[in-house]
Amino acid sequence: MSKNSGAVWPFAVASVALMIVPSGCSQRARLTVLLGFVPVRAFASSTHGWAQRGWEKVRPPRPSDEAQRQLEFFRSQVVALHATNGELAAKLDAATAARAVASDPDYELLPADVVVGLDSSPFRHTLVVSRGTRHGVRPGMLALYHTHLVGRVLEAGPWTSRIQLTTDPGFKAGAVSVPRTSDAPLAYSRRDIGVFEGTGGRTAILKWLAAEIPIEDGAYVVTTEDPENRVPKGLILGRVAGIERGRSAYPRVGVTPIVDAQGIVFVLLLKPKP
Amino acid sequence: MKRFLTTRLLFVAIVATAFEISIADRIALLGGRLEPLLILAVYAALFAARPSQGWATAWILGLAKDCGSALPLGFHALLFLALAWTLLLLRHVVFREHPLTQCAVVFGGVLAIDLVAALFVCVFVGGIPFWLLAGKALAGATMSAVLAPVLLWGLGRWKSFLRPA
Repeated sequence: MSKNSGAVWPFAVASVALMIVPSGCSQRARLTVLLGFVPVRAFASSTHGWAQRGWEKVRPPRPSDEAQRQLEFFRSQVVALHATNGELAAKLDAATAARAVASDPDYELLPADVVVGLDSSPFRHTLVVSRGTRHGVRPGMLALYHTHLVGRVLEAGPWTSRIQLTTDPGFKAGAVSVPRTSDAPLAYSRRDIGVFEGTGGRTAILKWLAAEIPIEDGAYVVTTEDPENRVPKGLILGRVAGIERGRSAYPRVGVTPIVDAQGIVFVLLLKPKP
Repeated sequence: MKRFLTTRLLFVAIVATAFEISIADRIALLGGRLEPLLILAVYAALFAARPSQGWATAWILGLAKDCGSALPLGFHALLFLALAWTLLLLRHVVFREHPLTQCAVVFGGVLAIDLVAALFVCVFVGGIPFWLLAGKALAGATMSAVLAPVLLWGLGRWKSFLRPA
């Protein structure tokens, strides 16, 4: 065993070397590799069709069924066209809603389909989208879905990018709580600003709000304007779900995102115009 | 004695990687997920013909996990390598064919690797509440430990693919 133990060191050294390589280099390679899973997704969706054709070979349709089959084919074409139309309409709706909040004319919205919807580590919350540096994506850009903030671009490869979701432990943003009902409208700038942080779980937390600030369960939590990080005000982060007022001077406010990032198929990237 | 061809096991790893980056979260318990890549690394360490085959396979499986993660490249590769090295030392003194041994090894392996990964995230990325961290690690370890004997038994029986004559 001791003779063979020497062989383990090259692997250990290689691992450490890979870890200290700048993430800008290693992430590009990884994101490009993940592009290989796009055909796997397409394969999975077409498997159903193959299975159906295979079943027809086992049990061939009768000649009188041919007209029925053709009718079914045309129906399926109509359904596919409807689905495409629905998808485009959904993207248009999302872009219109996002544009209402992110109204700065210096920014444009870049639609990006989700390629990989899950991080392989249970402690990180990221997803990979099909737009990269070749489409003008840069780290730090925001990812939106309608008026909801989904996350921020963490790394960008040539054709794909990794989005850090709002529930990731590394995500932080300035945020305010907006009550569901209010007697008098209050400007964002006059509200008490807290720090929204992901926890790695299903919920996030809103920290550093003064104890005397009235916060109610179910209130919306939205972003405040942060010109340095190019965050517009008013993007929805989630809804207050539990307030812990311990002996600390600051209450711990739980926030549940309204959009389930695992269920979305595209996001809109907020990209500065060239 | 079970043996395997590294390249064939890596084909199985592609399926395991696809599982981990697509639907693993849908069958999670308390946030803990099944870890098929780690179970494959345990299989490689327990049943490799030579120690170097076990280390190399586990290291590549760790790299596959790294490809789907935002953690640094090489992080899981190093952890999987450490696990394989430990198992290759221990496999002479444990009954590796026994389901309970496999359960215990996978439970310990997943728990240790998840805790190290969580600690790394806490230090270098951002804080994770203790109960969330502990719950995810324990639930993931339990789920993987329950699945491990079934998966390892299946791999052992799949001679035509993993160990062609």
